[in-house]
Amino acid sequence: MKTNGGSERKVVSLVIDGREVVASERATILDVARREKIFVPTLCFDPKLAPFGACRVCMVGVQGARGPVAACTTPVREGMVVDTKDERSMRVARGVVELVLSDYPEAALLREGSRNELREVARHLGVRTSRYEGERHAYAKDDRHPYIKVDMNECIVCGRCVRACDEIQGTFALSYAGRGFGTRIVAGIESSFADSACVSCGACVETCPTGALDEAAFRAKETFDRTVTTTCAYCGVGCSLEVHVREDAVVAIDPAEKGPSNVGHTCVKGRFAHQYARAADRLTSPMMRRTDGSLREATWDEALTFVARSMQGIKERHGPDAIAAISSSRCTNEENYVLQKLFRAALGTNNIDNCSRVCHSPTSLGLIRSFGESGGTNSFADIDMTRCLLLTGANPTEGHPVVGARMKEAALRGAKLIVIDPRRIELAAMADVFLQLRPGTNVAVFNGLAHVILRDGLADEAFLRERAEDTLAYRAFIEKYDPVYVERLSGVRARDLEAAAHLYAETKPAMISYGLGVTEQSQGVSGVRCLANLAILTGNLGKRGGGQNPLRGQNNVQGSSDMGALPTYLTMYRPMSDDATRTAFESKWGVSIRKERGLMIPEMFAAAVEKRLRAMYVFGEDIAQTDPNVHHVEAALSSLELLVVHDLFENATAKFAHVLLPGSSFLEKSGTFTNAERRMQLVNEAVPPPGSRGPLGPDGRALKGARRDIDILFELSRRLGYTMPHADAASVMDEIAELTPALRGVSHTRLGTQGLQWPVPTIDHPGTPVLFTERFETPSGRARLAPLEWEPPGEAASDGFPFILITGRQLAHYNSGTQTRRTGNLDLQGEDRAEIHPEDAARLGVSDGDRVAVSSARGEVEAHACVTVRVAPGNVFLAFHFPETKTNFLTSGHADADTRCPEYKVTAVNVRRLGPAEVVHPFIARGFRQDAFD
Amino acid sequence: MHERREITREDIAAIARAVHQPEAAVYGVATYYGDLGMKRRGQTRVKVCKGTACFAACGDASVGWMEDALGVRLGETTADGRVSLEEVYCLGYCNAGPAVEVEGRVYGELSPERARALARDLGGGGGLPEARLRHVPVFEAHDGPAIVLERLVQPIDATRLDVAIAHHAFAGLKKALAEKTPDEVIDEVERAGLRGRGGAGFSTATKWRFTSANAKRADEAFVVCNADEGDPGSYIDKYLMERDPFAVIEGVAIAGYAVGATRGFVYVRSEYPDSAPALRRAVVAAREAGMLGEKALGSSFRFDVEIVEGAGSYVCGEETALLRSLEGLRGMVTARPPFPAEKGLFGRPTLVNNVETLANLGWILRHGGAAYASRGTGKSRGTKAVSLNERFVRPGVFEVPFGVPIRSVLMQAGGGLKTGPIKAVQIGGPLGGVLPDSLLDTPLGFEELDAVGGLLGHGGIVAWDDSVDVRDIAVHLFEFCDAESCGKCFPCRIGGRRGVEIARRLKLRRDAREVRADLDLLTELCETMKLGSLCAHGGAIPIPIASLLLHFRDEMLRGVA
Repeated sequence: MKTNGGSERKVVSLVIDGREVVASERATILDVARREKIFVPTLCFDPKLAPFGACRVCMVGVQGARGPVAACTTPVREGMVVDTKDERSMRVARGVVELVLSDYPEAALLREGSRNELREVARHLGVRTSRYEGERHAYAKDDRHPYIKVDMNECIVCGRCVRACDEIQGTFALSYAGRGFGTRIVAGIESSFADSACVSCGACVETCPTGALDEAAFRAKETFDRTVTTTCAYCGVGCSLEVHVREDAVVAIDPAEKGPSNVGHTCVKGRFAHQYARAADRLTSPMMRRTDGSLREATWDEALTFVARSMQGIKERHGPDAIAAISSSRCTNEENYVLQKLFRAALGTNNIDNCSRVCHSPTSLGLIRSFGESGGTNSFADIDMTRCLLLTGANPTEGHPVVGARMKEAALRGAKLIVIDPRRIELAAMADVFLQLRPGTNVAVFNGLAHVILRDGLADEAFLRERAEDTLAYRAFIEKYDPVYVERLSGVRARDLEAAAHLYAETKPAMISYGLGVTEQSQGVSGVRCLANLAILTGNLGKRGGGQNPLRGQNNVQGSSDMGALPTYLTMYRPMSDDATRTAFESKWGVSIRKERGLMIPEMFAAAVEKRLRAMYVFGEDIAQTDPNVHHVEAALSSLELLVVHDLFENATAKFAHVLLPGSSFLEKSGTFTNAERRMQLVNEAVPPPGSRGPLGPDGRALKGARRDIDILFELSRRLGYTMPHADAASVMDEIAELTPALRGVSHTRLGTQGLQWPVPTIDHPGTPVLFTERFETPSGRARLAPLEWEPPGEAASDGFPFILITGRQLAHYNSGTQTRRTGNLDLQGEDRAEIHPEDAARLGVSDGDRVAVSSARGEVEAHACVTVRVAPGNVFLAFHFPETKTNFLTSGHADADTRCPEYKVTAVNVRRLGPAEVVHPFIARGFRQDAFD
Repeated sequence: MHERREITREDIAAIARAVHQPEAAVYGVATYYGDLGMKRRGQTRVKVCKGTACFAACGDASVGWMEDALGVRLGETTADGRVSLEEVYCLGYCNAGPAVEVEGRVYGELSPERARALARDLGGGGGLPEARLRHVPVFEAHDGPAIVLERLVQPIDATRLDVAIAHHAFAGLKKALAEKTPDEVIDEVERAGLRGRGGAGFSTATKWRFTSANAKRADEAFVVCNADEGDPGSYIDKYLMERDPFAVIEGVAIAGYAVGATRGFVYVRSEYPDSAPALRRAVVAAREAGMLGEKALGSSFRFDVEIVEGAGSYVCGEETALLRSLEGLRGMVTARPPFPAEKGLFGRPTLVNNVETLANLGWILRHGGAAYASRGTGKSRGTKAVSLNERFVRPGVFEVPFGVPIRSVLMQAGGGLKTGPIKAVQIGGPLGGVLPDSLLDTPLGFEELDAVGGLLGHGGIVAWDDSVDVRDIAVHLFEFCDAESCGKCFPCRIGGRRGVEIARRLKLRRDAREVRADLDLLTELCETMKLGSLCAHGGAIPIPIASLLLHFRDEMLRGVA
């Protein structure tokens, strides 16, 4: 990946094809030719990769040179005179292409597809056939991978795939093998892609200039009508994607070359896992439950009339606070805004929360308390600039693969890497220091690092003096967290802790990146703040390459909370109790808004069980699978008089629903998402929602059929007697901007293809890649050091439950798996496996692949065992992507005291062997095995 | 693995885990080098030399002799797993070809009878004496005193440290450390006008200054001695390493001092089984005697040298490929810039110099650059060691000043051919032009040879007598190109094979139009490869082919109606 920035460069002037031009002295002739729109043929060149100089078709003439030179690897020089049409150079290029064609299938050259660079280059040079006759390669095809089809007979050995895997993805699954004429590209030990370390990011397929690597018979073989640029709806990286469409169907997806957050890369989910949008079991009609408990199709009119009437009835009987909504971090900013507006304005309750409650709510609160602003301080681009990365409680190579790859590349370039995690994640293998702490001891370890930083005089005293507060009290407090004490609490060896503290404090700039391993703890907010302490102590704030940056789990965790889909805040974390804010909304909306906060998600379940809550509207979240202590959630849902599930599928929560409303996937709607670096980016409709072209009703819309989510909410609001004035998502954003000073400069028009990082206070503000360059947003303008004691997690290992269960994500799947399980990703990774350390496995008589039962005080689930050193002895890991595994039957009701964010990451469990592996194993591609990096 | 004589997929996986490298990369390495590969080898590996000198000696007949004697085809292993027969470019016994190697022991002057004797008793060498004992080449200096062959021309055992020191070894290093700053050492080398002896002839002092400037900005810098004397037909470096190893080590240390390096590496080709052991013994002795190490020769200069053996790849003699190989990777060429002097071994500034270049340094420091430059001609200063192949009456390594006519080297030093008049001479290895008799009065020099379509290269000289069919030379050269191509750049990877195919077709009886079309295609192929290839391997093979087409065109068309 090319990085931007760097020092001032010298400029040289040269002549190319008679034009006098200037260029950076670091530019190559090819760079200049491309800039000047002069076509120089290339085969092994990809602007995303380092110049390689293998294909030799980019030869050009340079005055005074002994012969033609390769434009891709030759730097420009002052006074250089370049002739790209030099006859001798063209002859060489033609000669090379003729050689290539002597070992390339003629049929492949004749095939009309969307792209075959070899064909284009051959046409440009006027080479049709080859006069060379001789040996041709004959390789077997590899069709085992669900997405990547390999036909090495069409390979021209340009090495772009190998380099994409090395330089963009950092997986090194591919290599050259053999030599001379026998040189070839191999995956793994000349195996199938599926049996190699390949993580299916698709960068190799995208860069392949011929049909050798093909995405399920698409690229070199097919065509499309149009391309729509949009934003990925999987994790919080926010990859900008180009969706290629033919006849209302998605043909393929590529990362946008100039995507601001992904820089031309994406992952196995963003690129390939989109077929769920046209899955056969997609909800394409509103459904209503019959008295016998079965579901029947209904028209929109029926369903929405029923929902509106039921809600109004409940409101009349039990008051507005008997109704609550759960909004979704999966959905757009505009939808989140409209849903909270609907609940606050049309129904009159603050009972609106979103699913970031169960992931990053401690980030919001913790960062507000320490810095005064609820957002990651820096940008993903800072990963390229940092010299030291402290990664904790996150597994980005699986959870956020594009950022994970970027971190790998940073480490390969020499940035220092500190990993603090109970699991030996892939990046731990590359780490300079790896602290494998016991689950639930983050605060102890972070305090220990702070102790060493202060004890050894490594703090940035000037920064503390000028930009921090509460330093004296903090210095006194941190005394007791000496490394020996911390070792006793956390199991992290004192000298490793000291090494990490020194590395982090002495390498500038240093950045912190963290995930749910920090927030999903009973001390979630404390964990976030103790990390903030480290950034404050070392002065790593307000500068490029530094900061504290949460890896947001879902595409719009940041935005759903920014938009006020929270029981405590209106937009941008402004409490309803703030009179000026509230009045502004009241006058715009024409209603009065309640000051007191509403229910948080866990409180909603308790209220439902106690019948204080009678109706719930659940939008784009499967709480019966993903919320902790599922038995309790199920009890709550069964108690409701009205449960509306607005989703793409009949999910686990839908079992309890009275009405199902078929919503739209991100491919079928417009709006914005806000990624983990606070970047608001456009989502653009690529295809219509399924069924939306069906029989039309009197209002001109399909009687049934899935609808754009925002239209559903507009219509429901209207039927509740509150008609919103918005025509579309763009006009919703205009209202958000009007009512929110930090977003005042945002509009769909301005977002364009690069988006904007908030705050954007004015219409000419360029956005904010780094927060707090001048002051913090606390009342004093200073960052607050927080003396926070470590407290034991809610559950500890006991005789009956001697293991600690950690939950998390796997690469091929995403959260409840609703989407990814309906794609070819299922063929890459077919189940959640319980990771267990070899020593524990031996003691329990468990072999790899055996069936095991994992039980907690709340329930028992079954899974196949994965015996791996990735977990420490005494720990067990389970993902939660498969409803079959029911991982959240195990997790506890313990939660962070202030945010009610559940403690998913620490659950006391027992493990026992049930029996040997069944004969038929769900296939797991090698690169997706949990022990792939042991 | 070694006992099994086989690398399996399981081995690759185990190695990848052990060295924390991706499996694909380990597999890529295993399938790149000639010594490795995934094919099962015999308990005894027999390697028949296909170098140019052995080809000149018997026209590759030695391959058939060994196949017949061993009962196994080239590239195969006997069914009982006892013996495998492989080809190798080149064992460096060009003075005694045809040569064959049996598990590290080389036998020369192969004949059908000797092949059968060997096959009967591979372990005992069939009663044949090893070539290193039996076929010692001539070492002589002509037209002046020896410089680089200073100790080799004397009847002494210069592999013994005491003997070498008695004959001035390390005196140059001592003088440099005691009397000169690193920049002054570079000045001395500049005065000598020394140019790289590996083939490219680049100014040594210029390269040193470039490296030194980069080394000052880096945390570490290296000197790498390129001891991958791959040119079939040359064996100059081989004898410098095996018989005067201290000259090489002293040169590495002087260069290290001059450019500001702390570590030196000598990358030795595995095709010379005796070279790396000789250098290792010498390094141990020099280290023990305090010539290397924390305080080299009692000075404040900290420097040590490590000997690393290659695994069978000609292209690893190209400096960027050599560095990748030294890093444990595939020996594939990378485009320059960046030059090794900027980003070399492990990304650090690295000086890469040839064995002979370095072996000159002790003398230059002792006698001064001016004394060295006083010999030679034009831009080629000092002397050059050249080697002559087995066809000569007196095959050996000769040191001559630049400027002497080639003919005088061939006739006076070598004594002409044993088997009649010289038909063709190739100077500078497989990448050098093939010269007819009419061009043999050309003076020996970089520019002088270049002007007549030749190449001084590394100074290996192979002459053919009248018995050779020049079309076989073309086949031989393309086979070499194809077998040793690193596979990276398209012209060499594909062109090498197409060249073999066209060259082999030339001898098949066909009508003249077809043959002329093939010659035209061959001419175009040569241009594509020459102007298009990434390195000299593919880029210079066309030079001898073009010279064959130019000087021997009639013969290329022989037998055609």
